[in-house]
Amino acid sequence: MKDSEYTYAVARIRVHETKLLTESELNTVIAAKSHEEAVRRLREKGYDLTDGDAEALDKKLRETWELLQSILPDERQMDAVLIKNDFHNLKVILKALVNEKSTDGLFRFPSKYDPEELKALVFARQNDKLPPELQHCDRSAYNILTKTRFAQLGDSVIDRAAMEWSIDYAKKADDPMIEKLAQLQAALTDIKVIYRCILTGKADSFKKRAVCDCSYFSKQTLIDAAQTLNDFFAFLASTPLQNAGRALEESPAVFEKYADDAVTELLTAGKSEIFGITPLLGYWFAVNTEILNLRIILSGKATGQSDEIIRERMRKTYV
Amino acid sequence: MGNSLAIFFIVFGAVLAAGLPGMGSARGTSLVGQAAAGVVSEDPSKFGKVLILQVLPATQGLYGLLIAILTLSFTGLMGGQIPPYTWQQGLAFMAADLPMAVVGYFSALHQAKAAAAGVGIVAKKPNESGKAITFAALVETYAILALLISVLCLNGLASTFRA
Repeated sequence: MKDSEYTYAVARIRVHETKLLTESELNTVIAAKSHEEAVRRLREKGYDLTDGDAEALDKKLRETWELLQSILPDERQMDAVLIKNDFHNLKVILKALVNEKSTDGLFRFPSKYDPEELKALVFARQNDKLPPELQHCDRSAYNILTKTRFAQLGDSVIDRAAMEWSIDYAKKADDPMIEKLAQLQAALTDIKVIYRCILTGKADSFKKRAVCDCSYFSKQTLIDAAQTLNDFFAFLASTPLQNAGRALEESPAVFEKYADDAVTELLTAGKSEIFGITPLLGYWFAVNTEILNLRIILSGKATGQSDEIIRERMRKTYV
Repeated sequence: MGNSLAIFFIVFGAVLAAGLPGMGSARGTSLVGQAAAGVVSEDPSKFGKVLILQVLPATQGLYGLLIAILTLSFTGLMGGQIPPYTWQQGLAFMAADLPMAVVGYFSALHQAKAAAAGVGIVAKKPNESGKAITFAALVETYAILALLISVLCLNGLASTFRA
């Protein structure tokens, strides 16, 4: 697809970008004395939270997705962000099937495939009718979960399949930003998985099944370097993601913030682009970040957390 | 035979001068028009500002048309009284049309990209629309230089061959 085919969509998104909350606007919401005041300040900035915080923010996400779908010349171009949610939904469905639990409220939006349809197929074990990209990992994870009940390995197999699919898709998409994004997300997921493996004393054979290759480091190098936490942090310090190690040393929550900020930083670099899908991807992630920030603020205010703690958890904004 | 070939070159040059910049302008205004439509669909009050940007890549088409008319006029083709040009003279007239034809086509496309980027500026910072127009308008310089050189060449050739 020619980059110029996104001209209309990018121009519309530029107008919507002006409605995103800036860091200083978020700071004024954080400075609110109470949850009610925060809600009032957000209302002044165009956020209608009368349906309740969570519902209103979910609605905002849905509206943004509907907008993108309506202006994209070919909505398959956003598969890069959709399919990850399909893999997550598959994980939820398999766990629900094996543990005989409900999937209510656990599916992620938006996804390429209808989660309820996926659920019906997985529950009926009609593996061959699943989308091709989900068939193999569904089979593997189902066998692991039913035969060994090893939930963490089942999760990891699906996460790895999601990352490998993203990298493969990005290569075919022939868009430098989609590829950089897929590689970065794969690297960050690998780091998170390996960190957990070290903490729980997992064997190398487990790590091999749980991580994937990416442009930042090879799978084997990562596994070899991850024998102890200190070795792992020293290895990360020698990679372009050196701050990831520092963030992990502080806490997993700091790493989560670092990972989100790294994605925003990557997409912000493409903010001045006038053609192509990058501005649309950037806007989608920007809205997701804004919603996450508002959830952090509103839940913080509702539970009486200090402004300082809320600020520490806030993600970097796109605008 | 010499005159027929000369007429062919003259007409072909005029067609190139009108056709290529016209194509460039059509593609350019379409590109900026898509960006402008995107902004106006969200904020109709910006119509005036984005319209100026859309018009910018249209000028190359007009310059090309002017060169085509001048070619036909200077060579006498328009009035039907054609001097007995040699094929080399016909080719020289065609060469005179090329600066406008080539530069007109490419400058229209590149100006459209600058103007589409300018539409993004108008979308986010409407008060800076003057800067957006300036960025795109600067590309026009090269279309004007090409227009100038084509006019001078045509004029010079017509004077020389008539003498």
